[in-house]
Amino acid sequence: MALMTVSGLGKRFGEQWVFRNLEFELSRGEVLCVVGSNGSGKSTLLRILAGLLSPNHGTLVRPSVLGYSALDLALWPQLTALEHMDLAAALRGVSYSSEGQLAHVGLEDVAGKPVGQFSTGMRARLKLALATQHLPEVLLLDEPSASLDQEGRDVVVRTIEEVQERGAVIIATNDAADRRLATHELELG
Amino acid sequence: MNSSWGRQVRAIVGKELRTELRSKHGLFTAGLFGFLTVIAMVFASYAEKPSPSVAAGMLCVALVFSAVVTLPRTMIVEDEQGTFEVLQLLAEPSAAYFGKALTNCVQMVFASFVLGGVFIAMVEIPVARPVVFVLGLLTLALALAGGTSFCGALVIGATNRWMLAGVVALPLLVPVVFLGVIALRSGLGVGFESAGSESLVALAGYALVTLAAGPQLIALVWRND
Repeated sequence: MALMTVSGLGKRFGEQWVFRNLEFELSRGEVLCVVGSNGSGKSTLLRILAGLLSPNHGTLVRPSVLGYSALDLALWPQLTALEHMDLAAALRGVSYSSEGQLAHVGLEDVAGKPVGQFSTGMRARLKLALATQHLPEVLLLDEPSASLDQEGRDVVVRTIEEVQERGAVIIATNDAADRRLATHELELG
Repeated sequence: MNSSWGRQVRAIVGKELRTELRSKHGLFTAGLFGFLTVIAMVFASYAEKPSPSVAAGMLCVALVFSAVVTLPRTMIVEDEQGTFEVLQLLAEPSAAYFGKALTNCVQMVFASFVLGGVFIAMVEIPVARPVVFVLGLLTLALALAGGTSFCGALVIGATNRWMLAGVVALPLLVPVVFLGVIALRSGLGVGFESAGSESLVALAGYALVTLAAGPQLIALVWRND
């Protein structure tokens, strides 16, 4: 049974269609890589799938438990990594092990540090921890390896493999290493 | 109120208070602006003590100014720093609105009592009807918090958010100024006590209406299409 079904999906800004008539299904164990040139609509598609944007055409059936992480997703600079995790857990109504989840992405030593003092790579790791905190069935990752060092990339790969075991992953990327994880590819533009 | 909604509101209030206590932006801006307004008014009326009617108007102006320059920020800042999307992913729109509006209420009630106390002490005007005066400060603070939260939600996603918030605040807050002056005048002993009581009810009603309408509004701007 499909975890996510996209049928005839289209999005336009003004009169300009970014993409239209997109069709795909995503089943358990699959990793779909969305590739395409800059401006082809990769990030827009992921934002629609995450529920942050509405499509102009088509239908979308998605699971209720979904995780989303993107390079341009901002965090609250005054709050610490631990406070971000606690806030997200309270808003989602889930219980979790803060130490365990922050250790999983290699941030246990900076858990009490304000995110405003984090590097881009550390923020990316925290966003990954936030996106997977509630054990989503589908994980949406927009440029997950950008700005990460090798250790960070290993964290991303490990996370993708873990989610793949219980659900599915969609990655918007042009990174060759990320594309090697894909079971399917969707080219936009 | 279901438990998950209540839990989300509490979480948002906690997050707002925590970030505010760390950045101190709202407290500093409201405190400085309101305090300077009060000081300027006290100096302006140094030679002759202002009448209770004028004093009520002056205090109301100080409170309105401190609310307008501070409170829409709780909504707008999420849009400016890009964290609005995180809220969209994690929270119900109405819970996010209520959490932020409640934080504004706490902030504004605190500012009103501090500024009101300082003002009365400095102009040395007797408070003839203390209960009406205190309730006037309270309901005025809640109405200002409700109105400015509504303004903040209204301008999310707009290009010139702050300018638009100021423009929208004008028609929205005129009734609050009008009712606030009547309530504070009555508290200082001018006019009938019944007029003061009626304006207290009207201010409380205004606060309730804006707090109730806010979630409908935020639901419309929740998705940045």
